[in-house]
Amino acid sequence: MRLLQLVALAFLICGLVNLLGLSAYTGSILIFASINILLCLGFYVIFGLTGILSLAHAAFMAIGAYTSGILSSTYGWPIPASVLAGTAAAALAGALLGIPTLRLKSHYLVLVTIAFGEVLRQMLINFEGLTGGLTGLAVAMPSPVEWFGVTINPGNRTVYLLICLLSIAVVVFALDRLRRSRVGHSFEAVRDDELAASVVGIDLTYTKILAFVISAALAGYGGALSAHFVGFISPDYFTFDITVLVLAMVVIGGKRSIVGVIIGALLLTFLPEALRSLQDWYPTFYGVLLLLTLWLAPYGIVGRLEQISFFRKLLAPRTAVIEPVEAARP
Amino acid sequence: MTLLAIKNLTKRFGGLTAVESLTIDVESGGVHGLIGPNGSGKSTVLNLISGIYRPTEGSIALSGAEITGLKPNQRARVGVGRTFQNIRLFPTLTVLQNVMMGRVTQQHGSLMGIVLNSPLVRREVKETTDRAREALRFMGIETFADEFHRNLPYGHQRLVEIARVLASGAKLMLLDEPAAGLNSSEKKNLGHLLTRMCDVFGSTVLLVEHDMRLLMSVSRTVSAVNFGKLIVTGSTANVQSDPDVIKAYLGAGSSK
Repeated sequence: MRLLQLVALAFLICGLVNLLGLSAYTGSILIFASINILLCLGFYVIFGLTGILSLAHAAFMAIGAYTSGILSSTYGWPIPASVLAGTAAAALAGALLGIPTLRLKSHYLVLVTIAFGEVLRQMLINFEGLTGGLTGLAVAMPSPVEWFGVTINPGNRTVYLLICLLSIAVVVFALDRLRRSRVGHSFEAVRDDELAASVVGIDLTYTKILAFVISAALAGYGGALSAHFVGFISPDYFTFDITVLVLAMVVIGGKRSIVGVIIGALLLTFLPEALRSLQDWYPTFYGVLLLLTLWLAPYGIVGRLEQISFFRKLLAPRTAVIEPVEAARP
Repeated sequence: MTLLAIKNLTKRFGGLTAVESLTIDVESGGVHGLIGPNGSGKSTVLNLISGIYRPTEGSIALSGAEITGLKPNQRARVGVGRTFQNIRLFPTLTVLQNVMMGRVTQQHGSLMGIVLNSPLVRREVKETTDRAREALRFMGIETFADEFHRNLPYGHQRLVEIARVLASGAKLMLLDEPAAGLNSSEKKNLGHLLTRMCDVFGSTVLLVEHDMRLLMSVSRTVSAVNFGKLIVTGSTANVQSDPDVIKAYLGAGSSK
């Protein structure tokens, strides 16, 4: 994937949205879908690639959102700088959570990461002076800027959507390069066989913490973007439910593929809107969908599609597969 | 020249002494065989050398430098490579990518460099690919470079794992029963490859193997262990005729 193509795609989608003149409601949904994609891409790195089931994603989001919100509203930082600071704070928190969980496996690790999220939420509630406690915190909305005589207003939905889409373009480009490099292969090696990975020469500590940092940074970035779009944050926005939602998106779309997690994020953002009529029955539908995926397609929608040769070529163009007859020859 | 110096190495698991004050010197170049009956501690010795276990006592030095306290990945960095009794390739990587992982310690391109595809990263990737392909070609399995290893015959999977160590340029290659599960022609091929590998690349191999014909045909020196203790180290002929070795394998009465 070329960066230019991805950027062009971002502009194209945005232009199309603008052309169709979608309602404010649909525009908002599109922005939330983009933010969900960013969250899912972060979860893809830690869970899909490295195989670490860390359920602290909402906590990293909260760290990004609150850091950016407090810096911009209380301390008057410009929003781009505060968003970057939020991302960096979340990355740092990722490293801090990564260190104590290095030696933990499966459910022990899951428990520690859930606990981290809950502790953080309690802190957000109790440090009222800084975070506004349960009442929440009003966050500065982006104000118009003038570049070379052109006024850009990020407060405008289309512009904000463009910012989100461009972010996705850059992240997808970077993650795709990383995935195909020795770093991405190290993540996968650690997931497949820790012992063999370390014997080959992979530093388990560095690799796992790196996965935590990238994943947390993306979550923090997504959190900060959503804070400045909504204009308000409260601890209620960053509950365990959000983490589970991201997990479901990644699992349903396909945890081992970038395209997969994007599909999952889109599907589970739009589906609830389309299925509003189900009302209270929605969670049931949702649970059934998740169970069906785990049963019929353990690697998600994309994992299933990859088994069909047409889609395999489309999704993961590997070099020619050797015919079995040829393979049998010595 | 001594490449690997194991001195008074002891490993206890609770009350069980798996390896007891073992002292072995592995000379640089060629194959050094390590034999012993089942449960004699051979695999434990390999695990101690590659850093999977920490020794209870004793020291291990590679080219004169102490490596006893190093983690497995740090030992890989200084030149210890190994294969496993049960093949441990990465199932989600292709054969070529698996072999390229062997050189992970030799690549230094930064994250930013990878994302921006910097000249250093491009050069490293090319060099790594070339070395990996060379290793696969040497093993005669380059055609399978882009396959997943599970689609290969078992014997070829073993060769992939050896290629991974070969491509890494490890000073010391620890091979844990590479002939297990191979048929006779594959064993013969493996023997040729091991001998040629030492000739062409100057590799040093510490070989644990139950197939005596293979081991004796490729080894220059053999160490025999039993109950975690060294019985003898010497040339293949000397070890084969050593009464204590025969006793360990066949029982006390057979040397009469």
